Amino acid sequence: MTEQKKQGKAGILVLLLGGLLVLLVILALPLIRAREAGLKAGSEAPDFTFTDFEGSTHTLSSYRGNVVVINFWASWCDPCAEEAAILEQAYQEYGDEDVVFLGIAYSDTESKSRAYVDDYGVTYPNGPDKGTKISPEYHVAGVPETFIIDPAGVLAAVKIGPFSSLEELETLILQAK
Amino acid sequence: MPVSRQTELKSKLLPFLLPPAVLPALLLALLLLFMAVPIHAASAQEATPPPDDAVNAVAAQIYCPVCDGVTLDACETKACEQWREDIRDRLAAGWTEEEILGYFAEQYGDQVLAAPPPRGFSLLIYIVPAAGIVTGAFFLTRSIWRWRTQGQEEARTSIRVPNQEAKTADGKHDAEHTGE
Amino acid sequence: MLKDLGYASTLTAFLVSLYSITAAAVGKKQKRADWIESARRGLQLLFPLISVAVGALLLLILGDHFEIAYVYSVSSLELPVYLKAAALWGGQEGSLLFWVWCMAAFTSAAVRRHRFEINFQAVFVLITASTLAFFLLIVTFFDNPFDSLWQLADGSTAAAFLQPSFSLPVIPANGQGMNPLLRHPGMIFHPPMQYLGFVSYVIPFGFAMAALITGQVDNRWIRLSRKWSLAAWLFLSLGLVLGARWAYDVLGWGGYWGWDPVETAALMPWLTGTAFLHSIYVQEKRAMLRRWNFVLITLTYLLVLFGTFISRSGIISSVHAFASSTVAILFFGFISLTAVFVLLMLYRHWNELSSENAVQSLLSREVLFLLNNAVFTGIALVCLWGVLFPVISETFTGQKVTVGPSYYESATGPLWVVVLLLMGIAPLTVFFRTSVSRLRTMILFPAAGSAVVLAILLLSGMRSAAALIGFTVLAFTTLVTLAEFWRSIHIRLSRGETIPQALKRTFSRNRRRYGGYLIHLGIILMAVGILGIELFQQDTQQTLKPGETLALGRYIVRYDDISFYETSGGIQQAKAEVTVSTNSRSAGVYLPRRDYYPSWGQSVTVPAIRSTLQDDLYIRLIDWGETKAEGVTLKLYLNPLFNFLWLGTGVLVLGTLAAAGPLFGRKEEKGKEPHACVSTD
Repeated sequence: MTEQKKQGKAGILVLLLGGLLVLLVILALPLIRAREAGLKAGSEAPDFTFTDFEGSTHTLSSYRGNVVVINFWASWCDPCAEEAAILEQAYQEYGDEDVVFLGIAYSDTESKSRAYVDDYGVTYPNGPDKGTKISPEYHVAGVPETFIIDPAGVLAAVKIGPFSSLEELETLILQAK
Repeated sequence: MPVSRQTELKSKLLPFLLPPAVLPALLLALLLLFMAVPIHAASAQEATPPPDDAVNAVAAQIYCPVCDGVTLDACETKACEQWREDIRDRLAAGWTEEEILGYFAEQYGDQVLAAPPPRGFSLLIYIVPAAGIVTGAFFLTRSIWRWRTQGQEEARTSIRVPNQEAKTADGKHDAEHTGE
Repeated sequence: MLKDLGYASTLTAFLVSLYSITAAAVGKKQKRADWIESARRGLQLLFPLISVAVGALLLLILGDHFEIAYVYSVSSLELPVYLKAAALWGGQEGSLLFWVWCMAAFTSAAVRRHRFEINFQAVFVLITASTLAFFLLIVTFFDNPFDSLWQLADGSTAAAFLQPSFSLPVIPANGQGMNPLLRHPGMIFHPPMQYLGFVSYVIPFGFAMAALITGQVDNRWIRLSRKWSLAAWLFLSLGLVLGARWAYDVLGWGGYWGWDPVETAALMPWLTGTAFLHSIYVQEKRAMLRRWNFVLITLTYLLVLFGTFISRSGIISSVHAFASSTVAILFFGFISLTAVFVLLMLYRHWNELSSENAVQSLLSREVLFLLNNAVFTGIALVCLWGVLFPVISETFTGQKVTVGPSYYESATGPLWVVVLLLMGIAPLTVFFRTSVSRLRTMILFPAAGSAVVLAILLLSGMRSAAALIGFTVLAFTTLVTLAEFWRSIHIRLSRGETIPQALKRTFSRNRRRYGGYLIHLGIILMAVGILGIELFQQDTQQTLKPGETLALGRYIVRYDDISFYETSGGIQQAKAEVTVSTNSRSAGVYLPRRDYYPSWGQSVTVPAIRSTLQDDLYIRLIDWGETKAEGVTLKLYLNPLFNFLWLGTGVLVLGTLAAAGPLFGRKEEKGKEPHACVSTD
């Protein structure tokens, strides 16, 4: 084989190996992302901004120094309705003591979300996850899911599913303080 | 023994001319077959299409947010019911299909649409295969051409291979007719 | 006891596979035939060992041993026996064990049936044993179907084989049961068939790599691979079709293929596998396309691994996915290593693979087969792009997108038409050079016939370009294929044979060719069905009070009644009664229903389907009121010509069986030296 041909052939190999590498990297990235997933207590809470139904914006990082309770819910979710009263009660109790409550509607239609908020008398800020950008950050796989963040911005507790009692929620809030 | 051209042509064509009865029968069968196919892809449109169908037409282009791989018109969950109601309300309020789809993409993210919107990075989904096919076709044509040139050179410089289609008397045209 | 037996078997199998790898490698290096022979025997031992494990797991499931984590997750007391048996492959761990079992069966059969040259055998054993070792590694140490459930000190439940410290055994009274969507006969046939299809490609892959590495790149490995790749292709085709039928029956959206990433990933090896089947024919006849053949078979195998990877890693969301992140990393590593290995081997031996012959004429069968390879590979790459794009988009822009059917249909549609056209032109050509006059003669009748069909369609009002092109090309290809049969039969009849004799001898004289043509006819029928439903499906939905009707196409559906039942298994059923009529004549009473499974909180739609060759009427119960008088909401789909898809599959199976011939060696080989010993099975 001529020198030129040899070089050409080696060049093609490099090209193919390079292409394979790119493909493998593309496949590997979501794997790596999935590994650092499982947002558990102790990891830093991802920051986000959302606009509530009244029009005000809230940014998580602005609440440093407070315990923050983030509850993902939806009007089409029956268990969410079960715990709505518990959350509202907890808000009434701790809302003044610098515990912030935020509700995020997940894949929910606006009219139905607003109706839900009215029906269950929820008074703390609630808003849609516009563009479904916040839920993936918190690896929300279903609703309801509640995340309790301590004043340092670190996740103190994760609750998948509805709270069975007010005490359960209270304990977690007090632990986070 | 050279056979007359007329007869040779006839003997070539004969196998292809099916007996008179069979040909019309075949065509008739094909005709009946295609009669089964309704000609118009969509049913005739009335002035105000039935609400359910209009909702489904839009819903079919959206994927259910809570189940995997199911379109909104087929999904039975409560979330999807509510989303379909939303579509119905917006249709009644005069929104067009594009407006509704755009709204859903904005509210819930591009991933709920059944096809990536043709803008920005998502344009690549359409461009890359098209470019790939054109490039592939080009390289393929080129390599076939080169291969043939090489083959013709070889044919010229080597002993000529007897033409494979020398007919045997019974009209078999392939060198291989036994085994596999 | 059973669980220990099962685990001991998989562990032993894993160790034996490691032994086989070592013995084969050492034997090849040291040129010791006895070592290689021992490696082969080790490989054969894997099948009985894994069979014990499979048997143990099956007994555990049938015996309702819910203390075993896997049994708990896939089975429950009220499942009928056939579904419990199917639960064997219902979850991640069991399906992996089943996969390994199939692979062991095939590799065992391959080394038993064929007598290889010693180096070839060494490499083949090495490759297959390595693959088996990898999957056994996962089944033994990571996704172990024999793990038990334990309650840990903090109250949570964990699955492990050995008892963790400070834990108690957990023996649930009942299992979680099987997802309602899976409780269908499809569960019995589709997964095993699909796995058989995937797994059996490891054999021709092994032959290819052995040929490549030992330098025996002539037609020997092709002759070995022929029947194996045909069988693999048949299993894969059936797996895909059975999946489509199952989806049609239970998913309730009147369709059969959603271009779900896992579905598409199962289609890709089928595409390259089909190209491979055709391409090896050219290598046998003209010693050409050898590089293509190696590339195609290795690509097929890598696509099989890729498909398994994405369905088990959870990186791409899909209805089909099991997710397990540990396994994902291992799979990723295995695929990467295999891909790099294949690439290096191909590179090293590339020059040995150049064709002995060159193309003489553009109008030759070789060129058409080459085009065929290119188009099928093109379709596979287009599909691959669609599957990967959501991942790519999310990586580079953070924005998730969904690639739905419209992409696949518009991107691959034209390519499928080219494939069908090639299917019609190729039989008209010969190897070396086809004379133009000959081509003209042979194309005359089919071209004329398809022009007539086109005219008929246009006259009847059809205006869809896709349909016109599709049906015309199909007509052309049908006529060419039928003409091929006709020619052979006609000659035989003129020689005095009877029709049955003529048919039989046509096939037996040239099994591959006419079997292949029959398969083509099957594909054409399937394409007719697909064109019908894809281009001409209609649907409509409406709420009906009793006595009201809904019309769709030639059908009128009248709502009569609704009733509510609860089965002994606790399933709540809402069953509607509708009367279907066509052309003012009653066509029967149909009962679409919805089954609600309280323990799962999930319902399954059971559509009522009226199937005729002309079309399918698919009736789905969407919603209902408390009483009959409140009415029901029905959705109707009309799927024209759809049953040709299943009819075509039947013809395809017949054609494959005809092409394959006797399963165990040939009784008489005229003038050909046997490439395999006649098995004593």
